[in-house]
Amino acid sequence: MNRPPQTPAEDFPEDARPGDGPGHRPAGHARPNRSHAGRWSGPGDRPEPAASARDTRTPGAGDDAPSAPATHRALKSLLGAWALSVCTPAEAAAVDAHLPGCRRCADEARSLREAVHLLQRPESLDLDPMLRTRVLDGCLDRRPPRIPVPEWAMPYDAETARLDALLQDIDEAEWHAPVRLRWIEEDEERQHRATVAKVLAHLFAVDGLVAVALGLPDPLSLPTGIGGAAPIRGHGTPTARTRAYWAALNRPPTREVRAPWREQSHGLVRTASFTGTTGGLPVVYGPCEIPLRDAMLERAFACWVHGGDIADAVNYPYRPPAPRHLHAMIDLAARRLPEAIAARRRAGLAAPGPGARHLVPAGRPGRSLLLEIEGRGGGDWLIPLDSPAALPSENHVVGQVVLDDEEFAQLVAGHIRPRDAAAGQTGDKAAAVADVLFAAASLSRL
Amino acid sequence: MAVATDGPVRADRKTQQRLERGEAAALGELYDRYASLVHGLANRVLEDERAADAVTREVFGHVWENPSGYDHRKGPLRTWLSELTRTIAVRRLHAAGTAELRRRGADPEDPGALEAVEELEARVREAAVAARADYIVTSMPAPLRAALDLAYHHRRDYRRVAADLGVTEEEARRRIRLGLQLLATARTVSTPLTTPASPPDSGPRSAPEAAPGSGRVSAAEAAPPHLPEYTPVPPPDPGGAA
Repeated sequence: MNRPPQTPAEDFPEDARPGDGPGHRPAGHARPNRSHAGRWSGPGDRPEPAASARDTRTPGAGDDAPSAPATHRALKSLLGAWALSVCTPAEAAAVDAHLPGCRRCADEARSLREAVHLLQRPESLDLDPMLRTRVLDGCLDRRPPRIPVPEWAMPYDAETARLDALLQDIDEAEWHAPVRLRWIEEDEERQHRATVAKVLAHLFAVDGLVAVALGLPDPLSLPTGIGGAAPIRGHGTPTARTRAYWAALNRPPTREVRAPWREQSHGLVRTASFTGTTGGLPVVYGPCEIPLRDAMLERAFACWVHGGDIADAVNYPYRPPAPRHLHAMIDLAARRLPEAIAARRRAGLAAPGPGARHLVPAGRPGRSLLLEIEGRGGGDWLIPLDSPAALPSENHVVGQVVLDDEEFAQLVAGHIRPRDAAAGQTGDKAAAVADVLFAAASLSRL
Repeated sequence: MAVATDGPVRADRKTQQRLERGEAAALGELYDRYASLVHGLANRVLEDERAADAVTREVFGHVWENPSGYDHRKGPLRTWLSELTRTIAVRRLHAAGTAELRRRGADPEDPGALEAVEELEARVREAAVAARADYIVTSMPAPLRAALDLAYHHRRDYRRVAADLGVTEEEARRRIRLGLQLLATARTVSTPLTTPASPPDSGPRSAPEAAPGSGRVSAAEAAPPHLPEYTPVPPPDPGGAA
């Protein structure tokens, strides 16, 4: 039998579209209908004239000329390939010749041909990340939960869901896109070059602090994903845990970190729901101990910040958290400020203020700064400047900081230099303002 | 077989129990796992993102209010959710189409408007078939799906499919045929407009019950047709003559 000249499959541009990675469904690109013209076409079959030329291609694999099948059994086994037009013209012709005389094959052939059209799928839509809150709120209105997710765990629940939705949409290569992590340490800007997967591994490792407190497995001692036992388990500072986890991985992290991270984040929300509404369970967080409710808020904040880092790296839009969640995160930062101010002072980074000459006794009003955060997640906070134990007082306000909610959050994340944030700030005591801004930035870390 | 499905069945029942006892965290997990499936199927039927959003709200609302409606003996939770979605979406499409016919002055009860009604129902049926096909594609055994993907989306000849998957040519032909056979079953069952067992209470957005003309489409969900058995075949011995 004469065969048409070899037409390597590579001639078809669709075969090697770079965008057709596993993460991208190629469904969107209109695919010519490659059916054979003929009476076996289904009702919806509209063969394209250009398509018939493509049927003349022969397989790229195997150079021995396959002979056309002759038996009923062999022809039947070809029906799927025939329906999709992915067999040789000789095979297709043999099937075509067989069908008029074989009722069973003809019925199946028609049904498979019709099924081919069902393979064409529309472009999938990215889910609107805000839909989740609307759907869940709607459900909980219809039937109030007996075991609700505590208010203080909601930001974490929402932020992890948002980040997971982003991760679902990125493809294999994007997991290795470079991400520059930035933070402020000892008033200096620090950087670390990571990848999307490495950032997620970081979130996974630090979330583990909360997991340990809740009695869940510590990712640093899990055998999956890491080669050997990590040197730090259970406690350690967030940074130490992250470095230990990264070091324990045998190879650079891949998208495989997503499933355990997601399982752990779901586990945290689930378990936190059973701890009661106060969230007072202590969580060991490096050198200090904080209540569960604050730890979950801190993790929500980190998830949003690093979600933003990841989104930037893969050119994905990423919005700030819901206003009430952003407000809770800002409130946590404001509550942490007095201790951060004191820490900078102890480290000699901040000049002792006038208050240092006569230390304010615990519980007594001291010099304060008014932190005025604008925007829907904002509010007003009075920050005691002299000592974490001093009471903030409206009568002792020595300065004022006005910032937009997202701007303040970026400052706390270490993404804005305190000097830049200070521009345009007024206050009788400019030093007090600078102290607070630098202290806010010092809350950032890897 | 029982061994293979034991884990997922237990996980589905666990989810159901958590929903039944009113655990909000379980609802969030359910959404995270299935929202894109539900939204995608709804959008496939309705071709309208807003309408798909509304169906998504309705499906999860229904599940949250009636978790006991799920019967694990009838199949995985995923299948129940997709059937629920299809039912709600198809009903919505039908209601919207009927309302549109009424608005244009055609009384669906009027025999004169029969043609328009039939056209609407054909469209509704096609949308239901498309949604079922989408679901079949996403839930068919991975080897079948991979073979169809190579043959259809990447336009590989079946011999290339065999080479790419590391299986014999016969096995490649078998997978392609089985995959298409599974897909063809999307046409053989109908999506009822009113479900006898699980009528989702659609609340204020309720579509009219027993929409006019629904009789023709509302045949009870037929028993699933005989599906070809799929048993994975190990790849050929690389040392043997290929």
